[in-house]
Amino acid sequence: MENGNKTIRGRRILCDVNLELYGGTVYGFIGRNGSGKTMLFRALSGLIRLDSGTISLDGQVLHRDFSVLPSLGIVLENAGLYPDLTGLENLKYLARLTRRIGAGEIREAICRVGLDPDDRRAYGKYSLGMKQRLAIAQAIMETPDVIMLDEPTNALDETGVEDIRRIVLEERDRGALVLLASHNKEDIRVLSDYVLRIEKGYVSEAEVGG
Amino acid sequence: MQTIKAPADSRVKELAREGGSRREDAGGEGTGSRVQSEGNRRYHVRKVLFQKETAEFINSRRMILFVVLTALITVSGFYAAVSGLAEAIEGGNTATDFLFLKLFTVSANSIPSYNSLMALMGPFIGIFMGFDAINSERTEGTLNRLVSQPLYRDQIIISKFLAGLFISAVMVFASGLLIGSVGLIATGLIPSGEEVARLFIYLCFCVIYIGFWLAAAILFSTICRHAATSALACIAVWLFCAIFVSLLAGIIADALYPVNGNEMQAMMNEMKNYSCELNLNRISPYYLFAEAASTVLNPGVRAINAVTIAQLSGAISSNLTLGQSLLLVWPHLTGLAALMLVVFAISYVSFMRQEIRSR
Repeated sequence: MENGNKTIRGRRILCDVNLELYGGTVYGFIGRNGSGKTMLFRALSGLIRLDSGTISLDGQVLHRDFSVLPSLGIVLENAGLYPDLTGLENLKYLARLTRRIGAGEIREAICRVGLDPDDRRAYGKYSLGMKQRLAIAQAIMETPDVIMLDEPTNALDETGVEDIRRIVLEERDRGALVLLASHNKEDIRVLSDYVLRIEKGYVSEAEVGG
Repeated sequence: MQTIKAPADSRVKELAREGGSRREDAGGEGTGSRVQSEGNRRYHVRKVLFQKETAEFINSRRMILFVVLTALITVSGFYAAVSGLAEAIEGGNTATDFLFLKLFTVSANSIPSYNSLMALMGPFIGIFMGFDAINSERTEGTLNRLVSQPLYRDQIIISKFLAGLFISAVMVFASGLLIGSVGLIATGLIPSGEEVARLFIYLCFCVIYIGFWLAAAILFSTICRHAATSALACIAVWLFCAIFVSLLAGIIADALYPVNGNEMQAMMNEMKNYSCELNLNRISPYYLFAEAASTVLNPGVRAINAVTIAQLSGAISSNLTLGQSLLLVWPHLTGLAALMLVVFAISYVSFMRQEIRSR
């Protein structure tokens, strides 16, 4: 991201943000509520447009050469899956759109997050933690190059937190670029190779754990 | 302004490349062809979204309401037709060559005809299907998920519209064919080829008419934050078109071309007043549809504009052929289709320009 600026309803969300990010690294983003972490993720993924500045990936510019990152797994504050479908049906539907993976990979992704792919309950009946796990399964199932996780361990029990941490590290080792926003200092400390602080739209370097 | 650079050693870059190629390899498995043309990919995505939208609607509780509404239109229309058919024939105010079509136009015992019911209630079918098409997905966060997939965003709204149009077409044709077939059994009226053609054109009209309301509902669902707001906005527009346009048209026509007072002036204004009111009424899709549908279903309708006595003198009283009836309503059909496309185009542009974020 180069000189990224974004203002929404008169409020500056991102201010002159310059970031150069590489695969195989976990970037931890910290900051207060409303500091701009989620908006930064939305801008980097292509869900919102910058007022000024550019985002490029391997020389190709977002919103000029492609509308969203071509290989992206994202979990934002709302898991955003269909309440009437089962977990497996939800992921199958999304996988059918891209045709990159088959049923085997989908089931494997569900198992990786500690859920049962044969669970016949509708997603709407899942607990908050299960919803979060399924959202993460969707984000990683196509082994994307870029993974954005906004508060991924929210609502998870201890085992769930450990599972997700393990997955994040596995994805990093696979070569994925992982962006992680969290208020949980322990998550940031354990997972991040590089920590960035967002404050009133400005991004600066920060110490791990700080 | 500081650029924040993360460390990237050669090992990391190597891993990233491996990861990328692994993903490409996985593409072939379970999918068939790995290399797809852009056109094929777009078609595939649209097909998947279309199937999803259709299945979701059919499995939803709203479908029950939708079926009940369509059934009400069908049963009431049929009851009115069967009750009033004999009376209409005896009254001598009907073209006896086209009795089968009367199943769709005859009303009785203050029950409106199928055609009138469709004109009045048809919009609800479109509104039911589209009023929360976009904003409910936004509220539930599923739009986030969908647009973060590598697909063209316009395919989402196009698929929603096509799925809605498809379902309404199925319902309208099922309802029309049901009336036709039950009517055939109940009355013994065998339709001629022209009647079947007229019925087919009429049902296509119905689909376009409902399509307009579907497009309007999708437009409101795109610009309104809450589904309830968009539903209310749609109903307000429907009320305006069905009731207030005709009231306003009368008031405006009377104001511009008064027909009261001076007898000479009233005589001169009579024609202008009527034409003005008629043209203003035609702004409303409700009026456009009702006028076109009654012309297509009744070959006895020879003109839809004001006709002077001079024009009538010497005219041979006979039914119009299908081609001539179509010529009369062609502007209505194109106008209604254009309205539908314009409204959908506005919702398309609005959706494409919107940012996907929580509000």
